[in-house]
Amino acid sequence: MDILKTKNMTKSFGGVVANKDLSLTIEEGKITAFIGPNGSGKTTFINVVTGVHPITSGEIFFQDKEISKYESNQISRLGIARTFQKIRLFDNLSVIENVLVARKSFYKSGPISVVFNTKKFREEERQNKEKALELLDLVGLKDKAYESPKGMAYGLRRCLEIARALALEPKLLFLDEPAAGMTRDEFKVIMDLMLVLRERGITTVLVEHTMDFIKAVADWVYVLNFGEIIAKGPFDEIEKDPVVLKAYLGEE
Amino acid sequence: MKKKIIFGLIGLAVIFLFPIIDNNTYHLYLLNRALIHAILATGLVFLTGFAGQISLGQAGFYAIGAYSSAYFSTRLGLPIFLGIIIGIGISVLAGFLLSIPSFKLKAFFLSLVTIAFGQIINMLVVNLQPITGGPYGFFGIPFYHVGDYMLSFENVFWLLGVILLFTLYIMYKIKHSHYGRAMLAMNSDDVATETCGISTKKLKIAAFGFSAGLAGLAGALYAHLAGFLSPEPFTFFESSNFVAMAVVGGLRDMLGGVVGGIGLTLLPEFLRFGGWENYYLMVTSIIVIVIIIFMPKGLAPLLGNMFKKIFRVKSSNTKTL
Repeated sequence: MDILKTKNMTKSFGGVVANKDLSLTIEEGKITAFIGPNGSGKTTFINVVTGVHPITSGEIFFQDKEISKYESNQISRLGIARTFQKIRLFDNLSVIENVLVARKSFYKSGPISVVFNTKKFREEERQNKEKALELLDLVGLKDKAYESPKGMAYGLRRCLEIARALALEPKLLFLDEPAAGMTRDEFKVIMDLMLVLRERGITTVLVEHTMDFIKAVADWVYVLNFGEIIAKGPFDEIEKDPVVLKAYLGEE
Repeated sequence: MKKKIIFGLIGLAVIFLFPIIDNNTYHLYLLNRALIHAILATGLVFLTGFAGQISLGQAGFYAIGAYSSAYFSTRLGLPIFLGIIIGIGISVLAGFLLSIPSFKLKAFFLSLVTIAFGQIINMLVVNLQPITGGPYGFFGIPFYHVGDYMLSFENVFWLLGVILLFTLYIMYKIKHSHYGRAMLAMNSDDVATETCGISTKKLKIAAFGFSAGLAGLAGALYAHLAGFLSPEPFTFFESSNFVAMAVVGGLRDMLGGVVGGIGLTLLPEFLRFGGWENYYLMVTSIIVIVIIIFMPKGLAPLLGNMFKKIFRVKSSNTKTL
């Protein structure tokens, strides 16, 4: 089963074509990795699919529904969550509030219920806080729930960003370089987390440079270069592919 | 927590009893103006401090509220109460409209658009003479009354105080809900907010609508207090004054608008006496500059801390949830 499918997806910035006629599929329940040299269009791919950048041409289907023209917030509510290469947290909110922001679409109470503090609203607050704490527990941040994420260690901030993405109860999760800048131990935490998520049936798409990481978790790998797919397959095959080696290391 | 509530209630009682201690009409008129400014500046704290948007055209909404309520209650003979509601309604609609440029524009560019909006409304006030009276002014706006009973300045003071408290209550509840969190998130990072499944467009529409509604309410309350409207209080100068109130009071503080609105309305009047007649506006401006430079968080957090120290109130964890 394919959860995501793109057809001739193209994204250009002025004259630069960052994604060129990408036609690919992401299999449900698996961990798919995107690798490729810097500037090969991996992050652009995530940005276009999640609606952060508008698509130039082509089509994107999520669970057979066309989402190419959707706004970022609509795509997120459909169940596509993401993290960013450069961590983007809400530093003016506490750790648990960061997670709660992504729970907003699960609230049914309108402004009137909020102002009158109705029982329904209080109950919703309680349930969503519980859910947020559960997610913080999963990423090991429960004891820091009421602290500010500002100034927290890099690895913890990354974990919080993942918890926030999971708060959307996503079916498809994009992680843009989750292991970048992490220590060996922190990296292990994220890797274990990804395996837990796979068990829970969440499809993960991963952009990463750390090959050990990909080798350990990825079920399928796409290799991009200059915005095009140059190779695909399980990591063991990709690793030996001469085209891939050439893209990474250059010609002899 | 209980201690805090008791001190709060005592403080409120003292404030509400003030008109009985000092019933100088001019002082009361000023205090009423100060409360009206507090309502308006509270709307700006919401828009700028919470939602991260800018409006340098708030005098436009103030004018819309004032002239709408004046027109409907004076020319069409509707009760004051209805006039005020209509004034708020039209302001909110105008606020929705002004939120549209904010979908694409930020900071500097957005502030230019809002300045232009304020200028357009000011031009309409000057030139739409059949409705606004133009430069000659709008006369005979009814003062607050219930049936045949005319309210005194004291009564109006209490009425405005209750309206301000109600405004703060609404803002407090919204801030501590999923809406408030979304606004603060948008203030911090709108791309990340969108990827949390939140439409920042809707939030911007709501934030502009809310602050415009409060500015319209303030305008309508002013119209019935003054009894006369002319284009002067609805200029760009006033818009920037309103922003100064919110900033001096504290953009990130619930009570920033109250402290700034009341403070900057009364400060020039304190400086006006005793041989300072020629300089009081200049001194006021210098004080504003000094506060902005040395206390960028504004006066409200400072006063809050002083209050806590004096009464030894333990800081509760209201800040986080």
